[in-house]
Amino acid sequence: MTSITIDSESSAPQGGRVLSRSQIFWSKFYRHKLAVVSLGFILFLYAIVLIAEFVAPYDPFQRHTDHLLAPPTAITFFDADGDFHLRPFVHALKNELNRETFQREYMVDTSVRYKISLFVEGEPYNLFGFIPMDTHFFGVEGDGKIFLAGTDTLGRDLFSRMLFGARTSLFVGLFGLAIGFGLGLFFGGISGYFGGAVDNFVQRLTEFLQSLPTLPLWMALAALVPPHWTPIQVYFGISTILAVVGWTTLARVVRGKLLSLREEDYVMAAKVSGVSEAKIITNHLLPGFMSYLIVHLTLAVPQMILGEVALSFLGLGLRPPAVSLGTLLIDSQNIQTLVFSPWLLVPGGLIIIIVIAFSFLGDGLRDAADPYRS
Amino acid sequence: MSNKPLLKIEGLKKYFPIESGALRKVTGYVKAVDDVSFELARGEVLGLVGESGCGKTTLGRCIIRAIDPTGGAVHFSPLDDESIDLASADKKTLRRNRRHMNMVFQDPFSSLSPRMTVRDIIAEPLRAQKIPESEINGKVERIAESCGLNPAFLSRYPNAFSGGQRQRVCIARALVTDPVLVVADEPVSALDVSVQGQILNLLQHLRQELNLSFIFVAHDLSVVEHIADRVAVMYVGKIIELTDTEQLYSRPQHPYTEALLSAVPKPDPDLPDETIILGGEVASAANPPSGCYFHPRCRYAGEICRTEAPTLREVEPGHWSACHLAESLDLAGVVPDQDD
Ligand SMILES: Nc1ncnc2c1ncn2[C@@H]1O[C@H](COP(=O)(O)OP(=O)(O)OP(=O)(O)O)[C@@H](O)[C@H]1O
Ligand code: SF4
Ligand SMILES: [Mg+2]
Repeated sequence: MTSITIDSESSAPQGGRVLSRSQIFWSKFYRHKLAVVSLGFILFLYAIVLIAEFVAPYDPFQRHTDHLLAPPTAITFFDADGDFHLRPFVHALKNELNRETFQREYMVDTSVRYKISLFVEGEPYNLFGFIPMDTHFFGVEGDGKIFLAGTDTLGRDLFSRMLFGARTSLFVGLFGLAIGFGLGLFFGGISGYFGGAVDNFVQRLTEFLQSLPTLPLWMALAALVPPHWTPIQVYFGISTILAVVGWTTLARVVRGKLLSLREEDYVMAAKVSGVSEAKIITNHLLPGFMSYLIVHLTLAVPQMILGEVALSFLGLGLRPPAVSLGTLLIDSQNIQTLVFSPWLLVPGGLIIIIVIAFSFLGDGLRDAADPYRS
Repeated sequence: MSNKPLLKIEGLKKYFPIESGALRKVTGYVKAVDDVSFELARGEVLGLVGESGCGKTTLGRCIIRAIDPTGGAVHFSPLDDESIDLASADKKTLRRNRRHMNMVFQDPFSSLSPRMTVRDIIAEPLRAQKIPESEINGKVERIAESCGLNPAFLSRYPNAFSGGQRQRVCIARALVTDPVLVVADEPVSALDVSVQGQILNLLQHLRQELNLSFIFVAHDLSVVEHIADRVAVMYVGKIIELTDTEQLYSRPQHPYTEALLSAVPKPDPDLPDETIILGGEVASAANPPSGCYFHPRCRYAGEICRTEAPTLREVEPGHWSACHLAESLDLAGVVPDQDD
């Protein structure tokens, strides 16, 4: 072959080792420490809410009538005499009348110690709905009580209720997301693919939906949920409502990405090279916005969760006795109880942590997924 | 080898509908390519020049059927015996013939997928033609080397390469199936001036080695001067002059070409150095002027120019011009007549 001068400009590309795409993805992702921590936290959370019956020391509806509005139980290693014990323990709580304020107050009775044990026997339950068990991950021996996050007005353990509530809220998110994702992908897809009149119609529809103020729209749709529905039915109803309102953003992104990717020169290069339509879609179009979809999904989960919380908090979504992070917050609506029982806000803190974790995870995934695009 | 031209283009048209209002009513058409006809011989390089927006890209894409033309015919004879009309060919015929033609794009950044290795990018046309996997690597490496790419770097992603190297990758991809026709759409205008020369030399070299025909799009005449055998000048969707490169540079027969040439740096300091400033806007392809599209900007325009549209006619053997007054004007070129 005739030799061609390989000039300096063409001889060596810059850059170090050759990395595959998934290596690049993970090495980028691992550099985003917050995202890694968030991913771990989210996986951990989903894992423990799935086995909430086991992790929770009490049934979410069990009322501890001697312990209404009890504050979080203190766990300690030192007894009243200052002696160290290897096994942590809790003290008993006594409900007494404070003679100065004339309020009923909980006093710690340091004379009684209850050791904390792992794998204690407690209320029987069915793990995953069909494995009968009565072992709980932790608990205290004897007739002691442990309330990691205190109790509510009816004396129910807030920590246990939070686990069950988080289960509902985290999965309402996923279920709603699946519906919204389907709708968004479908409408965005036909809009970007067919263009013309279909595109026009879908665009007007999304504009219309987006221009509606969210809250009244939710309220109107929530009013359609019949009051006699069981919590399960309401749960799916709420998810559907959130999805029906929430698909427009995704549809726009999908449409825009499809339109812009179709215009990319490398797609046309594939076309003039004789690559089939199907191959173009799978090799060029889909990978081009796969990362967008993943990031969008990650960032949409907390929106779904917040949507459920907002609806339930306003009394439009899930209603007690159903347990969700939103219904748990209903108790904190009363400023009076809040002043004396600030632990009722703990579910709110959990919501904030969940939302932030999903945001960090989404950021990390976005940075890692498309390292060559700003 | 027969004398049949490689390409015979007849009345090629591409109209883009103009839609307006919420109901997207079609209120008119942008005639991006309007009734273009010419021939391209085997092994010939045709330069296609004109101002931005005159339809060069659209014409190039229609010829190679990257987009569907509105009308006209593109008779393509990659092998001596058969001839197909690319403009009306069905999907199957088209895909079978894709290996005979390809394209090089202007922007070496958007024309390479950021998600494929350079090896896979260059191999894409081969895979599309169902070439056995065992032959692919050898072919890819051979063409990469011809294009001045080091085969050791083929497993990298395009982001590791500079603009000039990327354009080499694009050229390698376009040539890997041994095509006879390449449409190069301003292949150097996005590159640094120092790299432009290298890429032009590479194309020049490959053209001889592989006996390629090129349609070489450029927006000014200086780029095509050395690579093109003939040059076609476009104005608002139409070819207004077409002839041998030397002829066009020394004795243009259209006032628009004269104006374009006056902007080219002069090789001969003895020639009068007068840049003709074109007044006014480029005529709009959506709403072109009457008569000769160039008349609002033409300093020779006469009465007939306002009312009658000139057709592209052979004013001298092998020299086509679309100007009513072509024979009577004495227009200035940039290269002195070759009479020594
Ligand atoms: N997809 C499209 N839809 C509508 N109009 C288009 C489309 N593509 C091109 N046009 C119009 O067609 C005309 C010719 O465009 P084209 O890109 O072919 O010009 P060009 O000569 O290649 O210009 P440039 O030198 O800027 O690349 C322009 O008026 C442009 O606005
Ligand atoms: S036809 Fe008339 S207006 Fe058009 S280029 Fe010739 S002289 Fe100028
Ligand atoms: Mg162009």
